[in-house]
Amino acid sequence: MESYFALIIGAIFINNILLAKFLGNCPFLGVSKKMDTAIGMSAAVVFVLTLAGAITWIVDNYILQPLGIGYIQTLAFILVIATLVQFVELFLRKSIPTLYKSLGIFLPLITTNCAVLGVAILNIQQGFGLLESVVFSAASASGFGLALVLFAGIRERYEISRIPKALQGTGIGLVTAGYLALSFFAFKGMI
Amino acid sequence: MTTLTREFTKGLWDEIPIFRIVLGLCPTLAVTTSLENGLGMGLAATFVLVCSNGLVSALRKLIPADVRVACYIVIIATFVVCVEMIMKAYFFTLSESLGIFIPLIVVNCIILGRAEAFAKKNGVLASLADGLGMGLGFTLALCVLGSIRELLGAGTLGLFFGERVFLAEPFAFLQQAPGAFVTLGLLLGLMNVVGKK
Amino acid sequence: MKTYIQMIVVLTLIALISGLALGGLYEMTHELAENNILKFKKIPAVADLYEIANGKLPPAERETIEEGLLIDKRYIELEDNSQALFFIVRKDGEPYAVAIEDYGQGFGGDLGVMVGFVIETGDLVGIGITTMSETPGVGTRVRNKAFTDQFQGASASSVFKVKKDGGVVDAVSGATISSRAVSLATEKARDFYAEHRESILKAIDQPSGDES
Repeated sequence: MESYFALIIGAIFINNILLAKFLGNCPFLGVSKKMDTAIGMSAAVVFVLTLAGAITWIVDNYILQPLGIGYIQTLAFILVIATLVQFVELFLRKSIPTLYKSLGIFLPLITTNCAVLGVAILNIQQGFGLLESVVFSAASASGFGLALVLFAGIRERYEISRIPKALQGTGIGLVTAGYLALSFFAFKGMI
Repeated sequence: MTTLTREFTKGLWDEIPIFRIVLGLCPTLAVTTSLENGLGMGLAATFVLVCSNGLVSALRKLIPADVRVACYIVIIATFVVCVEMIMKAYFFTLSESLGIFIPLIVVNCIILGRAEAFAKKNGVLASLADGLGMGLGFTLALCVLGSIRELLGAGTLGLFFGERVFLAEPFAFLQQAPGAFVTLGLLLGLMNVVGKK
Repeated sequence: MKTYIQMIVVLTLIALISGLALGGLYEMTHELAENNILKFKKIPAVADLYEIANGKLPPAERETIEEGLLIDKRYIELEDNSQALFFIVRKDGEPYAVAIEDYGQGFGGDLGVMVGFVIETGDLVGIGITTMSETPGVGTRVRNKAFTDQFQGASASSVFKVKKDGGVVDAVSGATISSRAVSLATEKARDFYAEHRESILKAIDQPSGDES
């Protein structure tokens, strides 16, 4: 039990995938200008990443490893993720239209979100079991969500601040992300 | 200037990835702790970009529009796995320090972006030139960032000199994650000032 | 209808060609890649153990020693028909210790530890960290000499657990999980050596050679 706790805290705060591991930075800067979109994106990532973590683990352990073709992991995983995202999109549109309305537009972006593929590969590299993989994926995705929502909160205020012309837009966004990452350093001693 | 040269040179300045088109940030931030890593990552991505651009363009009349993205992903992923295997066999230490970011070249938006925006509607030669230009532009951006972070952050420039070359106390902040964000943000600002005509 | 067939044919063809190409490339490169893992990850840890046994080496000499250690490896057969790899650390040309790698679950996945045992007594020569993906600046400190040195010359009967868990290992402060992983790996290697001592001794006497 204690190790799961450490896994969760570690994935959310200490090794935050966005701020310490640099995974998923494109959507981080892309959708963080408004709080609504940031929350939508976070929810979509949590959903897909948890599912993808479980499925890629099963694919790796029951298909790739027994066949001895672990070397095409990257190829297999990206196809699994792309297909999964398509399925999720279809499923949501048909059966839970309300959820589709709020998450739908973010789903296509998730295929090329390197956080998803990155965490899937990390699960295998770190030798996790199925349950650990699911927990780690969900925790990583929550860490992504946390950072994204915090960041959007700061960025919304830029609309009313005076920023040097050259830094407007992505420039100041990156600098802010840097200081957000710095503040996450404070969690390092937690475990 | 012929069109081919233009396709090539636009990636080096007018549309240089990272600085002008902010795509492919993850590897940019993660592996640029040293010039050597930045260069290695850039060249690996360039290889994939040139090959996938060429192949996508060569097959552009065969690939049905409905499944084109799936085809692009398979093509790109194949080349990425090639790079992975080649690096593990011949550049082991580099592949260790780039780690997970080699397989993640698959989801580098620049590569899929060029396939979709350029290679699928242009000839093979033009696509190769475009891929090479964009790839080298990306490499250049990574090298600039890598050199700054290594020189000021660690005081070394391992690719050229064995010893410390920056004599003041290194500013270790630049080597760590927050330093990556801040350096790139300031560089973007600088490019905005320099690039304005 | 025609487009559907075209879709399926094109996708299958691309996937097939890609699979064949990758399979071929894998055949060409995987031996080199596996050799690299030995050379760059495991051997440096074994060479550290060699230096503990024989004294510090100048860098140029260390390279030759590393090459020698790479050739001087042996395999033993286990009950489940798999093979276990170990290295021989020599002193004055005679086998003095064996190095066995084992793993513990660290903060960022498996943490590999190369443990050296004096052949005669089974006591530890020392340990070296081979692979890890711990948090930089926190968990990675288990690689520091200050931590690994405490295993030098430890008796085979020591309880390799961190002090918090009732053992003898001084954990790196702030990195209990990583310290536990190292201790567990050491303990597993110690038990492995105790259990397979006979077959290890037999394998040492056989000429080296890759798995036949």
